[in-house]
Amino acid sequence: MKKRIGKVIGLTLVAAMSMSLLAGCGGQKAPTEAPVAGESTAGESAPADGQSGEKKDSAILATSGEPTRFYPCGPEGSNGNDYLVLNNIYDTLVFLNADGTLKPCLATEWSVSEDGLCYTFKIREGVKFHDGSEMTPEDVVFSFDQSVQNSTGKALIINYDHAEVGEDNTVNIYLTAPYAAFLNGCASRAGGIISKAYFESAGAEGYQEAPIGTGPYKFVSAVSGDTVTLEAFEDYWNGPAAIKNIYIRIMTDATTQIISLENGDIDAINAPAISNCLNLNEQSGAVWESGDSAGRVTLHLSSNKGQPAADDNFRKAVQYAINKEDVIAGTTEGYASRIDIDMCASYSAHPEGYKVIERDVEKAKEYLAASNYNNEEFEIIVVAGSECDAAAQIIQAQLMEIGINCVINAVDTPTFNDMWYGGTYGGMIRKTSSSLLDADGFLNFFMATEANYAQTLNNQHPRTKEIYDLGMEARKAQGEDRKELYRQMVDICTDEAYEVPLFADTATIAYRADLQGIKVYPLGVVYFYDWTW
Amino acid sequence: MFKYICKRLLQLIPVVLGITFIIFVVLSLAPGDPAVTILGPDATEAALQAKRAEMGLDQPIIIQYIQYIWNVLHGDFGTSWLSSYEVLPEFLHRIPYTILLGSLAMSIAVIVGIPMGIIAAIRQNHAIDYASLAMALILFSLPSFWFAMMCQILFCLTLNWLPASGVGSLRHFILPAITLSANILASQLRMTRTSMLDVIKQDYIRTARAKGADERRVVMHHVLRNGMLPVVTQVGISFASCMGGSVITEAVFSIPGIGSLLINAVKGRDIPVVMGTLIFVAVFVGIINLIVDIIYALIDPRVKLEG
Repeated sequence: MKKRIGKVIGLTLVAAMSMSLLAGCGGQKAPTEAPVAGESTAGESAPADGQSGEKKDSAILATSGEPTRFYPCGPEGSNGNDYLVLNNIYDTLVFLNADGTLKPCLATEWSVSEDGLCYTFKIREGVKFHDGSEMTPEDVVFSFDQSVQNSTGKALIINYDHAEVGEDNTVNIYLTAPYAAFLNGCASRAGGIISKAYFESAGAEGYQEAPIGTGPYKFVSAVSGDTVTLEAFEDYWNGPAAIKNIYIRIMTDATTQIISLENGDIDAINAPAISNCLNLNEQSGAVWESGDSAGRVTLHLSSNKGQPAADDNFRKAVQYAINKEDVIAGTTEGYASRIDIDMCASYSAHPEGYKVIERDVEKAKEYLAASNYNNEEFEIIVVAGSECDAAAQIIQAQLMEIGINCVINAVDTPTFNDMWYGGTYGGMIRKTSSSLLDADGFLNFFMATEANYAQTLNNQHPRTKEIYDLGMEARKAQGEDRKELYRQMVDICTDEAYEVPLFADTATIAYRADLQGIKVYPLGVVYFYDWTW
Repeated sequence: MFKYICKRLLQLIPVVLGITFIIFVVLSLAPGDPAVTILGPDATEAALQAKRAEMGLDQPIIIQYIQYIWNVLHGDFGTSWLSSYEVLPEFLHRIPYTILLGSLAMSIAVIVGIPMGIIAAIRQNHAIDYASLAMALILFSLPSFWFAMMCQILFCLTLNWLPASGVGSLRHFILPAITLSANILASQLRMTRTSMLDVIKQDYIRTARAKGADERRVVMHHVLRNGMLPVVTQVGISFASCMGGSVITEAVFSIPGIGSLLINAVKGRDIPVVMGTLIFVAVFVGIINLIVDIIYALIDPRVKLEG
């Protein structure tokens, strides 16, 4: 009988161990082929401190979300994690610098017609796709035509009518109406240039599976939940990148990211939270940098019927009750910049001379007393666990101080979007960005048209049409005229207290000190081409 | 025995259908429009409607469910709404990591927990018993994310012995397996000890001792054999829960298993991925329970497996 029990225990253990072995041997794809940071893929390993004299040829970047969109012209929305791949494998006609200025990329020069309806781009010669074929003006025309077939592309390549191949290796892009930030749209992910011939053979799905562009890095593989691998493109028109292999490793836990960076398992962290950056042990050889972000956090007040904020005086009371400095200190350790309009200072055409509301508790109480507010719940929705959630808790205390019964409803992203698009909230704190890095991004919330349908359908303020019309004018205007129109738009929002802008976020990156060329871009994108060891 | 196994496997069918139906309905009724999630806020109403039609979301829920099950029966588990990958290959790619992690954790828990439980029981009220109980209490009370973090700081950062994340080699699985096993080990230890103590107090154990049987024979022959039944059940339950319950460990150690797949899918209302994962977990739990029952019969001849 003893034998029998022994058999059973043995059997259980053998089964467990066998499953381990089977599982260990059963992977179809190599799980993580990325070397540990500090090792050279050339075969000989270099110490983590990089003092061996041998240059490392790989770098590992950790990111908390998974890049999943590799085709730039598709209808699906994309996010900062996708940009880690898209911005490195596709080039655009023009390149948006970290300071918001534009520089030539696949277009060596460009001009705009007097009526603002035609942009002519001189296309760079000798540029190759990753499959070795040459990029032509036909590819540029084809790429734009693909992008604007869906609403996501239309939201970035605004007012696009059609494109055609011009003389002397040029492309003419015609607009339906002038649009001042059109070049910024060309620099966005929707302006990524794809190969017409490859698309015709592979289709959109094939492109997503094995994308090719003209960018400094080639797509090698994507192992879901684990690593996306890129390899430097030897025939890149501007010379090959200094770091040959890039591994974008999905690492959801922030603490693990920090520990891995400090012990040299990884070389950089994409967009770590400020609080984590402040906890970095710099003696371990890990450092961090921050810069202006295109992201802004704003409290939107719903003027929909039945909501407390439908009352003008209630909205003004909220507007005067909020102390933004406390919100910034509590949410971002004081690293963010206060904003008084729903735009970041880094946006092109950011207006000047707009109205600013300072905190005034007495005034807030007066407005509240003058309102029809009767201690009903004022519900603020936020995405749970986000910095907006933290901001909401500080604002809740500030509003309670003047007698507003504020409650926070922290929900997951799909539920948040549902409540937002349905207009079923009193207040909403959300972080948003302008992919164009332009003041025009402000208009998204005040669209009265088919574009941005989902988010504006049930969120129309009484003066939305007025703001929208000014916004449409601003799209056509240039220079100071354009800024003036934006000033008028934001002043309406301030006068009506439709929103209380809180702060412009901070873009961050943490990395090993021996990694050079790190730049912080407002959109949070990472260009591995800048990096060297 | 064969008949019994077939019968139990057939019984899995209504269980899986029941679970998948409940989950499908709950996810379908939860707030959040998958079409908006996929196309983003810039989408037009026409684009949203077209997407809903393409995904079959314009159909009644019951039709959507029947269509889904029909496809599954034809080997089509669908495509992820969020990432565009096919669910089955994705799933098959991730399963080995979760099974490896679960198996290693179970091995640690069984190899360490059961012998310690036996020793604690036969040395009741001795120092080793108190030490075992204290260890079990500590391991049971530790939040797994905190324990994982402490292990990372000690073994990865301070001592630099082990990698903090990833799945490149078996070394990568040492810390995750220890973390995941902590709680199970404590359960095994306590369950084994309690079960053994129950048996030790039985009359037939006293009789065996009165007949002059040596202590080793009493423990191995009489106590252990009779005390193993609840322990085997606990092992089965723990192993099954490892499959769905390794979410935190997988997240902390960046292991691309099905736990992390499931949590991301639930967050994004990615119904095809959630459903595919749950079908696997349900089948897996069913099979583990079946194995537990078979082991029961091996341990205790009084248990008859009848078809």
